[in-house]
Amino acid sequence: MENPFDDRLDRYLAGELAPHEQRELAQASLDDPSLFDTLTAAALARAASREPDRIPSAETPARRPWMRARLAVLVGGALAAAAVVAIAIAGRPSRRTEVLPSQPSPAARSSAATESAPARAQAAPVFLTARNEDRTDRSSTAFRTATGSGGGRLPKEVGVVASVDGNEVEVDLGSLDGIRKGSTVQLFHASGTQPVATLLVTTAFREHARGETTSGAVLAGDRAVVAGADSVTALMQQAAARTATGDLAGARQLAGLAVTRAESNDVSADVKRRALYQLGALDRAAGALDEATSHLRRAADALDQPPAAASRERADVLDELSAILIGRQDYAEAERVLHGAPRSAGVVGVRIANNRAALAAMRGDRATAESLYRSALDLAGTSSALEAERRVIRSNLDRLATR
Amino acid sequence: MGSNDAEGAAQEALKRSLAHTMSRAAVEFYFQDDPPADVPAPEWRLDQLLAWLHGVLRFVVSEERARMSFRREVRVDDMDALDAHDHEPSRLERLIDDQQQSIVRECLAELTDDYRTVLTLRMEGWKYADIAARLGVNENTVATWVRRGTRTAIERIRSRLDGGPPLSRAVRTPE
Repeated sequence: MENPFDDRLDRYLAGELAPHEQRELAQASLDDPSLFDTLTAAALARAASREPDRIPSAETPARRPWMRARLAVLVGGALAAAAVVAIAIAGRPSRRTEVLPSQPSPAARSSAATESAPARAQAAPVFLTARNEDRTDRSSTAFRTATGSGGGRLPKEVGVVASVDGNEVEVDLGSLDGIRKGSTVQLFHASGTQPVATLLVTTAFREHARGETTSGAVLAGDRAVVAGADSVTALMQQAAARTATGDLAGARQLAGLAVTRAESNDVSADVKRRALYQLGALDRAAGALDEATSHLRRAADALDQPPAAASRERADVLDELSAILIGRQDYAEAERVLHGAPRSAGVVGVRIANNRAALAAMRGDRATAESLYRSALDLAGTSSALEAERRVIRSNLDRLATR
Repeated sequence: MGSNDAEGAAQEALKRSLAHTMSRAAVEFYFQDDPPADVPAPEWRLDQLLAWLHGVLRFVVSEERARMSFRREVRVDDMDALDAHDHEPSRLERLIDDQQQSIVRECLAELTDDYRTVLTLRMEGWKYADIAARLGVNENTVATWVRRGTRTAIERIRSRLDGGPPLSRAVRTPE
């Protein structure tokens, strides 16, 4: 390569730079954010092309306070944005929108029998559904247990009292188990079946927590039982974290455990709904549409159980359920489900309005369709994050005009 | 954790990288102002370090999003609370691999066959002469394809690195 930078970049990509040359490049990048970005992009490409040359495992950490401000700024500026984008997509796959062309229903096929295939395709509206980033090609990695490697142990339902100092009690349960400030933990003597005290948590760490009891009868070694809702929430959080890392199989297992635990404990309806919704979305991501439909229907059926769902939760559940129905071309049922969905802000509201419009268009209700499409456009506003959705809605409006 | 914004997440990622034996040595060698003259070259190349930093940062942000999505209140100002379990090496490796493979799949897939082929071989360490011999073209052609393929691929990967929403917005107001 003639350009000196191209030559250096080429040798960097090929792994041919000597250590001191790499250091020179790194130092140069500290003063050149664009170079830092380029090197990072090239590094990602190169590392991914070298599967056997994996990055070595982490070892026992030894903290050092040393930090270089310029590097932090560069990483923050260049990589943080990438990470945010990636996580915004991968961490919450159901939030992103995918375009799903409609298939003519039997009635539509009948009425369109004289049209050419391209004409039908052009006239068919396009649905917007939550996007499933990762389907069944993920490994079915089993989640780790408390005795496994790393820190991803399952949340515990029962722990022990580690120490007692007056009415201040410490337990070996922490945020990994769903404990947070304000949580309550029931304490039992080792062989007792009735709680001897309730611990109100004032400080929560990952693996332990401290708080105060209303009784002084607590002993070290007593059992500490996590409240059902906290335990379910901990499992759901782990499932969400697994989803964020792309481990959908592990996430789905954890979400299934959360639902099981929610149903076997005295857990309020809103927590059960959230667990069912999470599991249903993961079922859908895994392509298990029957299970997804079942879990989401149960969540939908419980929307009015106290505490009743707020409009946002209602929209989320019904949007997810309707996406499955649309995917299965059960348009009549999808329309019924969406009819009960509240007007909602954000991408979910936009999707719902567009899809209601598309369904109306498919059954020939042009006026309703146009009104709903325009409502969807209003909801989409001018945010650049919703540009793709706006394009689809406008194209649907154009299709409506040509029908 | 303090990653309520992009800088906070970056700081946390660096902090974790400095707590990791391999990456700490690489960070200090490549980025420290004045490393001791006799400091040995690290085991990691610069590209390995940058890929690692990217993966750790992504992991940090994913952790934060997971926490925020459930509105947890966990005291984290005590560094001891960020114990060894936070590092989860195998999880990080898998995350980094996923990220890298995803980016390369999407970006390289958009290159022409010629660009993709030579770039892949070059990244595997093939010499120009060997690539030319394998493909039956001259070395100048290989050089041109490598240069153009590299620029195109990096532009596409960078386009995914740029333009994201502010971290504070993404974390605090999850959809």
